[in-house]
Amino acid sequence: MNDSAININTALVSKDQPIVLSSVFKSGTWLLRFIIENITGLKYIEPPIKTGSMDPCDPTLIHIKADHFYSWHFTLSAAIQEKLIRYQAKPIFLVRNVYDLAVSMYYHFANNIDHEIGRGANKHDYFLRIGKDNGIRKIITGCDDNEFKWKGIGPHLMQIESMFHFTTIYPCHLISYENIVNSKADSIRMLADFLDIPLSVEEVIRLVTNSEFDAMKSAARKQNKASHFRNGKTQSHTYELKQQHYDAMQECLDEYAPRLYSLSRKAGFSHILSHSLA
Amino acid sequence: MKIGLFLPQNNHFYARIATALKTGFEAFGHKVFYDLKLYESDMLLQFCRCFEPDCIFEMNRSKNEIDELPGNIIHIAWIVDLLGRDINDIQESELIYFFGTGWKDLHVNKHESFVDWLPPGFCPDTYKPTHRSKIFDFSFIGHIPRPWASTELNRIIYAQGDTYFTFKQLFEQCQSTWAQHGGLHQLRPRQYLQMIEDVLRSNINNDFRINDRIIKYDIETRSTRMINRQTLMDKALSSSSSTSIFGSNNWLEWPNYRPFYAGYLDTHDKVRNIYQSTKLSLHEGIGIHFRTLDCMGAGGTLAFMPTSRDDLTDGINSHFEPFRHYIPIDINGDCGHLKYYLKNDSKILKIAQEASLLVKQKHTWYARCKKILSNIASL
Repeated sequence: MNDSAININTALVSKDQPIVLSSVFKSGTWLLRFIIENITGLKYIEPPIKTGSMDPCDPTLIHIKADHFYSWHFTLSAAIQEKLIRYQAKPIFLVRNVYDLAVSMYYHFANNIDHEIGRGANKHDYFLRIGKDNGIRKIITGCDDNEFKWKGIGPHLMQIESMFHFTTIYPCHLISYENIVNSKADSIRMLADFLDIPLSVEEVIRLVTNSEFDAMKSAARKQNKASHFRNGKTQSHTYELKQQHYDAMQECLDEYAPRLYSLSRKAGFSHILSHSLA
Repeated sequence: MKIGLFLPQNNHFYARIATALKTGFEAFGHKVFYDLKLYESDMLLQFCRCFEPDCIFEMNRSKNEIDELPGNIIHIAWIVDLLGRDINDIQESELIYFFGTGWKDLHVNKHESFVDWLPPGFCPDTYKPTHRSKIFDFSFIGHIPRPWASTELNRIIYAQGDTYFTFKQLFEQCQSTWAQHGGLHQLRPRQYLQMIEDVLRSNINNDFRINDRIIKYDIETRSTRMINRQTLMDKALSSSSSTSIFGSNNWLEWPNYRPFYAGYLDTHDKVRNIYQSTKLSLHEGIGIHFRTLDCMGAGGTLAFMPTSRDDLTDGINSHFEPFRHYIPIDINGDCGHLKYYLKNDSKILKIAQEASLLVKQKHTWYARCKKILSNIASL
């Protein structure tokens, strides 16, 4: 099979409807960006990253630019909703099982992911010292230590809830990491349908193959940025989380995203709140 | 080797099977592409040109149902559901695997295919055993067909002049015949299918065959599913009212079972949790089914409705031992044995542990992939 990039479909992308991707931190952003880039031929843009000082609800951080699609971890605040509607955007939202998110966020810090591209949080010594169970707990509940300041998973849950809510009032495309990993070909077809870009069988096959975890990790390794690719699987929480973590998550869900259960269920995304000790 | 894997639908059930098979084949060094749909001929040919597979594995479709496939590609059909087809409609694939107990023996192999039984596999990640306190005495996970609608019962199967024969007559006569022979669960597929033919012969003529796929499916599959599940549930409910039924809301259309219906389980986690929270998880006994393995592997205790097929080479007893790995339900006896187990937590725990161990040792998807690859190598 020819492994070259798939045909560029840029000409088919609607100029009047900018593509805007909001993904939850650690939900598979790189993977989905890769897929969208290959479907549309567009490159992504994101706001300049300033650690700790970016408001995910700030609409001024969303830059609509011709010949690109926008990608960041924004929350659907009223102002952002208004902006997306005004621009007649095609919003794509990427979510993930929240328990797997907690695990992935933990490893992001504990393994100092992305250090090789200058985006490491440099908290790995701290996480090594406090141990995994404690570390995961802090990821879920938040932490205000001198060494590590983190709001917890709550704001991310709020972000996910805002995505599900917005899909009830505006045409959006919701996709989960689990969808992409477990039914990738279909996920790609559905995404392409949403973007009104027809894909041939060959394009789908090539994109499925080129976005395999091993293929992406191998490509990243050549560019010295492979730390981002940890295991590419779903359900890792089954082996990593303990009762205390599930309890803590439930408290966060109750506080930050009390409607997420019903919204995700109605949208057919029950799996994002499903866990092994339910 | 490059393997194309195609399952019929995109839902969490098929997605789990596909990912498990992919992981299994990849563990042996093979490259796998899978999709959760069966491709039309043109798409399949495009796939073959692009991916250049050595082998195509499809669930519920045989090679003779595909217009064209390059001759060098090995086609594997895994028939989990006949979907109203005659079993002998399944032909030409280099490897034909049947899921159901006794199906292999019914099949007439016309094209020198390698024909075998392939039960499902177990995914230890999805159904990881966890100890849980028991909430229910019994649970059943699965759907039941809707009760017959009057329009379905009134379908005319055969008419000539003033005489006609309806589906209702066919169903009632078959049900009566099956019951006279100890109930459907006591009959082998060949026997109960023969009884359908006998009913048709005695009411219509010797040469009559049902060609309508829906009617054929309704009498051969839907009827049996309906009757078996009623038999099983009636037995459980006569033993304990601490019973929960999970599945599609068709259950609500059955007045006797409506009070016990507890909803649809839309994730594997929920399914696993029910197995682990139930003293005895019911299964109607059609051999080694997805849910029997998932239940046993997850550490649940399986209560299985015995059938006359259980001792066949592709029956459940070819791999599992009654009273050691599962509890056979004495359908025609009283409920004493079920009540006995419901009161003996240590006994059902021991059975669950032995079954879980065996499933993890011998019945994973990895083991199934190993078998398939070995069969391919022997062609």
